[in-house]
Amino acid sequence: MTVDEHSIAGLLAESWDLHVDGMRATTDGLCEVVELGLERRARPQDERGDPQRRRFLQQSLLAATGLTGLGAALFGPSLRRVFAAGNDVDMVNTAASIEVLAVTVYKQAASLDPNVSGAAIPAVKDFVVAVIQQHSDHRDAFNAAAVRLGGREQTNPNKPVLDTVVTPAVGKIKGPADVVALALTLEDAAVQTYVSFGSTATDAAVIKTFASIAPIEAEHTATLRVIQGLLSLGQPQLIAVPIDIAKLPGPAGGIAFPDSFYPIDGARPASEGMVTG
Amino acid sequence: MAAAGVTGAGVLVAGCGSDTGSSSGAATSPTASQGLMLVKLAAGIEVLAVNTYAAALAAAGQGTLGKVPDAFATFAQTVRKQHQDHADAWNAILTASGLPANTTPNPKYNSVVQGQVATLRTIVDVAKLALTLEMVAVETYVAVASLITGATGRRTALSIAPVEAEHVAILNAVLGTKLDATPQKGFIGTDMAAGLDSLNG
Repeated sequence: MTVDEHSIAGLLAESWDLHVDGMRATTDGLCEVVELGLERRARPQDERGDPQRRRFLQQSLLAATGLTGLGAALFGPSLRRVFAAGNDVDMVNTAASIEVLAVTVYKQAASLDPNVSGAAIPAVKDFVVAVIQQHSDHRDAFNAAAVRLGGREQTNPNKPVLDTVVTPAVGKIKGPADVVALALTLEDAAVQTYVSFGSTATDAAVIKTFASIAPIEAEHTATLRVIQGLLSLGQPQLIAVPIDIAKLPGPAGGIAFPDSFYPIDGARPASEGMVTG
Repeated sequence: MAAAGVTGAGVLVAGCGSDTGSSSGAATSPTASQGLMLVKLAAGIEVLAVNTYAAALAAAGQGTLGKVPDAFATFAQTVRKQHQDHADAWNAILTASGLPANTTPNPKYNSVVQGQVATLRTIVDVAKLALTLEMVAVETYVAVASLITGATGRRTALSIAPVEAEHVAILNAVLGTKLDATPQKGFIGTDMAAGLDSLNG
């Protein structure tokens, strides 16, 4: 993976110029906008959760402050940031829906015949028990964040992923490799989603929550990739903790982490699991 | 992946008198110089990781570690390259801001590593040392993630932390630590996070 340094330098210079111009303009006006946002955040969820209302208010504020053209371009992001408190709630709701789904899937897998689920392998069984607890804790953390921000808890599984990924896959499970593949898909989606969400969230505690949970899901993906690799080699007896690295084929040493930077192209949409109604 | 956006150019306005100083609320922007110091900190940690894995591979090549399994050599080589990619990404931000790249391993943790490298005798020794460094890295990224307001720059930290965690998972498996027995207990903490003071040794 390479870094385009020239593009970065150009973007940074442009960003700095905009920043200096903006800061020189109207700090007072921006503070007024922040105050409006805080006042809005204090209102009940049903008054501020409507996307259309959110856009209407944003446009009205821009018009009221006379910010057009460059002003709107400079302070549009600030206004969006103020209204992004609602987006933070959507994101933690969606994250909670992913965790609910993960718990459901792992529990469903645990209910299968151990020779089908892979639980006949002690290390796999231990892994499943541990991740069920961890995903439950993650769900609780995301829901606590939602409530703190004035939103509501998400107790339902992520429906699009359930309908398009999980349900079709469950119907085709024939053995441990299928279960591992499904689990890996979910865990990978979780990491990508939390990296993406953490990158754009505005509340510091929410950012830290995403930052502290994404790596844990990545530990799950690493473990599942090793299990998957050993199953594909017909070496289930090597799936153990501690792992006997002396018995692993050479390439196995690198299969757990295919990328230097975790990608986000598979991140779920922020509003996918938002609580409505 | 473009790894930019942490510099002072990306720093936006901090709270307008409403910052309670708590960990909740709007993310607080560091100053431009603080932001770049965080980038320098991250680069130095990655450089240290590169050097440490390189030292381990050198020891393996010299026979100091006994028989080294091919899979462990592959692990060390792969991880070393990934840490180099991380260092390059952070240094790209520094140089784009007109600062020199940081090619100095983090002074504080380097003194710890140097004291242990000479005592490495087995791959278990290497795994234990590597695990400590990987945990410092991932916890540092968790700690700094909420300090960076630029989406792209923050994403750099957030996209690296999971990869360090993948390294942690494999090292724990090699050392025999089960998932439910790891110190992180489902959430990455910040007790082991490196601070800016570590730049001074």
